[in-house]
Amino acid sequence: MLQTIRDRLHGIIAIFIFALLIIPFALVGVSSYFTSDAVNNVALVNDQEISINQFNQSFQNYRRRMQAQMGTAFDPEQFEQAIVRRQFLDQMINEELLAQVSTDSGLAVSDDRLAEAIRTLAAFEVDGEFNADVYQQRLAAQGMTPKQFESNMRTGMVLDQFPTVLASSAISTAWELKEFTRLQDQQRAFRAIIVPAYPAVESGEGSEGESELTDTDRVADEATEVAAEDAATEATAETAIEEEAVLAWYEAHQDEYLSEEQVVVEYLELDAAALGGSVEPDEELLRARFEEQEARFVTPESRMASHILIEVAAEAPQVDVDTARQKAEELTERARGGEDFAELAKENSQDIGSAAEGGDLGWIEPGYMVQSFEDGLYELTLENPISEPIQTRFGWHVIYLRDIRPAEGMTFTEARDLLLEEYRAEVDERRFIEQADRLIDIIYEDPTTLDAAADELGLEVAEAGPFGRLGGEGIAANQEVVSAAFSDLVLAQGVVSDPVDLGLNHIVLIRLKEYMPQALKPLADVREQVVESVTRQRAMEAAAARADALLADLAEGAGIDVLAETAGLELVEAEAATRTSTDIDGQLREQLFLMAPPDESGPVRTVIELENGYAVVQLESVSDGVLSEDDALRKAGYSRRIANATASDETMGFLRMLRAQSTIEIFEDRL
Amino acid sequence: MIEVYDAREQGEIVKKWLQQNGSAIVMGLVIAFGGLFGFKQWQNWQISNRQQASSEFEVMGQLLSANQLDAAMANFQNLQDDHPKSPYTSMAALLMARARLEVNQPDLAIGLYEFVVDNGYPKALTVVARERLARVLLDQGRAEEALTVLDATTDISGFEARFAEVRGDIYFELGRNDEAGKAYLEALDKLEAGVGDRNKLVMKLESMGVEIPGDGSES
Repeated sequence: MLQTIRDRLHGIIAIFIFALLIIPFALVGVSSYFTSDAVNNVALVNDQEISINQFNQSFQNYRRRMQAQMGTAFDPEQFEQAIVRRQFLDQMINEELLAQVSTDSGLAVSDDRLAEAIRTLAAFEVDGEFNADVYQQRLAAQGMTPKQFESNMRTGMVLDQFPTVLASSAISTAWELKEFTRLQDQQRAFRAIIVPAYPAVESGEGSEGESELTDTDRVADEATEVAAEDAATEATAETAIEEEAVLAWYEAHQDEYLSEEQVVVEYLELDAAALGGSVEPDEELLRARFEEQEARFVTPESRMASHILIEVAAEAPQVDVDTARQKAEELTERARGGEDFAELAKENSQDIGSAAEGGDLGWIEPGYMVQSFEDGLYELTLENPISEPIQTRFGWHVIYLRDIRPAEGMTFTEARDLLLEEYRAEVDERRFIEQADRLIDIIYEDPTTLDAAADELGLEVAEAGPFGRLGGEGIAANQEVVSAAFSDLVLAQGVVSDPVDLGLNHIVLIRLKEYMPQALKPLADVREQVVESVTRQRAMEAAAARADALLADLAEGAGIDVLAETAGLELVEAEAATRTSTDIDGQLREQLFLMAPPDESGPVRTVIELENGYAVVQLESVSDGVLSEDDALRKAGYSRRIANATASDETMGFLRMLRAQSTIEIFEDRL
Repeated sequence: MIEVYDAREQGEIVKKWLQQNGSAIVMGLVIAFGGLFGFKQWQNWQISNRQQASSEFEVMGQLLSANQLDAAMANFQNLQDDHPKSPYTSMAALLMARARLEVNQPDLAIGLYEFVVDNGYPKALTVVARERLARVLLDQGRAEEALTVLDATTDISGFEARFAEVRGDIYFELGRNDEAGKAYLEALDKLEAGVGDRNKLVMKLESMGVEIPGDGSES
């Protein structure tokens, strides 16, 4: 049959069959190349894949770094947000782009520079110097080989080259410096009348203030007291604000009077420490464990010995064995007769290692030597320290016992408490794991209730709350419990949470019992705040009207000094206020520098809103900032500021241009 | 169609076939191995070439930070002669230009920027060089030329904010305040958060009396 096939495999039929075969092969091959992995990508950067695994790993690392950096300020929920993941992906894409452009354009880092960079890393230094051992250890601790680390480091350095050069070659020109200084160090001369809205009202002091009106050296405190008199109507009105006004404010500002969103949860707590207690093991078992683990508690007797070996293989002819034994016996005699054992060993021992040392074997513990040797050694006493010849597979030994170190350690009674404690911990843990498994199984069967699990395992369902997103007391003091309580699973789907670890072998599962959404607090509860707001609002309105009136007076030609004095208000003035003058109210200063400069027609005037009241401002002159030659420090600071700002802009431009030149696909649904 | 050959006949056939096709096979092998070898050689040459550029660049950087401008210039010259299209040469030129500006040799800096504008690689570096060139020209009182340099390219994708601010500076210097205001506004609009110096732009706009749209609440 094969032959027939072969015969026909010519011509059109053959071509046809091949063509047919090619189709499935081609399709399977091609599609497996293009689709099988594609599902696992979160982004394609010029056909280079960023897989979901890569992303997750990097993101976890980043998260851990941030956690270490921020400490308690770390908010795990923030890292759940889609936008944070998305931003991180953008960063990864930027890095990938940088890596691509760096490799494509042939950037490299020489071995010397790599070594130099590693040597200067503080993490591997001991007393300010690079330490190779620390280097190895630190890497091993992170599960990395030096090769891997060096490769990572090299990649990072290559990646950094363009941004580094962009930053270190950044410039600021003299023209830019001059322009920046002109605006930044601009000085403004102004005078302003401060119209406070909230005088420190202390009833009955108004008349005192009036008596001091003639005092030209008036201080601000007194001035405000005088203003208090003007605001007297408001002051009395504070107690008599109409109900309609309170209600109207309350209605209009509902979003300011919302209660916090809260939950009440029920929970099951499983704690290994709470499970144990009653378990009493029998003495037998503890004793068995003691014997099993004897090495932990007892250091056995050890003996210091020397020996002389007369070599002869065990399977050697009887004659040789006998000759050797005679030789050994003779040595035993001589040693017992008082000759120096070490000398004898040096001359006669055929154990090359120890002979030079006078046959010394050092301290010997049971289990290290051949059995017959060990038996022989342990039969000796210090009174009778030289053995008869002992045969092992090496030959004949003469052993000399030199010293005995007695056994040390705990007796069973001494070790019993420790063993008991360990036993209990083990039992607890085992029971905990069993129970936890069972618990999770039961919950898995019906995730809408904790009761079934509580019944079967004999646990109590407890209750916690109400607490808000900031946590509360009891288990709600644990931030992870709070996160779980407000998680989608518990809050929206209404099912039991995943187990939350409270400690070692200590978990809790929670379920929503009651949800109290943000709600408008009743008026009665917030009345005081509302009244305060209305009062403030009215005071501000009155102050604004007063400021406008003063502004009108100024426009009609009144002098600002006189005006302030007659009104009994504080006058603030400066000949050369700068953007950084700290002795001027922040809001006033900021608005002052936003005012258009005055022209020939005279000073510019306006009313500026402050935190507590208004200021009637008269801007008199503006002068440009100039850098004097001797102000080198300031000059250098401004230069650096300009160079750094433009460099960051240029680096961003660099990255964005790379992006524009690349094809980037992002699969946001897989993030 | 079964043909039966004895051993000798088969030998003959093989020999004949080899005579006909042997040289072609040998040629094929030679070309394949030759190509492979050549490719390897070319790769090695490229790697060593890149490493050479890289080390010239490194040395130049070290000399620059040691303030040995003339010595550094020699290394730069090597880069420029031997690796005109290497990114290392572009980066070196940018660093060298800054050094020239620091010792008050703006004309030399201008020359270096022009070199990168014309020969730089990758493209984004040429755009940076162009922007810096315009700034130095403006500083040298050559505002019109600076404008021409900026206008010479439209492909500045990504650098819009930077170019707009420089353009604003040039217009301002030329007394074309309306255009300057528009350019600064564009720069402010295109500037990404956390990049550049927003306050500086706001200050420039305010000093010209330009309203900043939708920025009323921002401090």
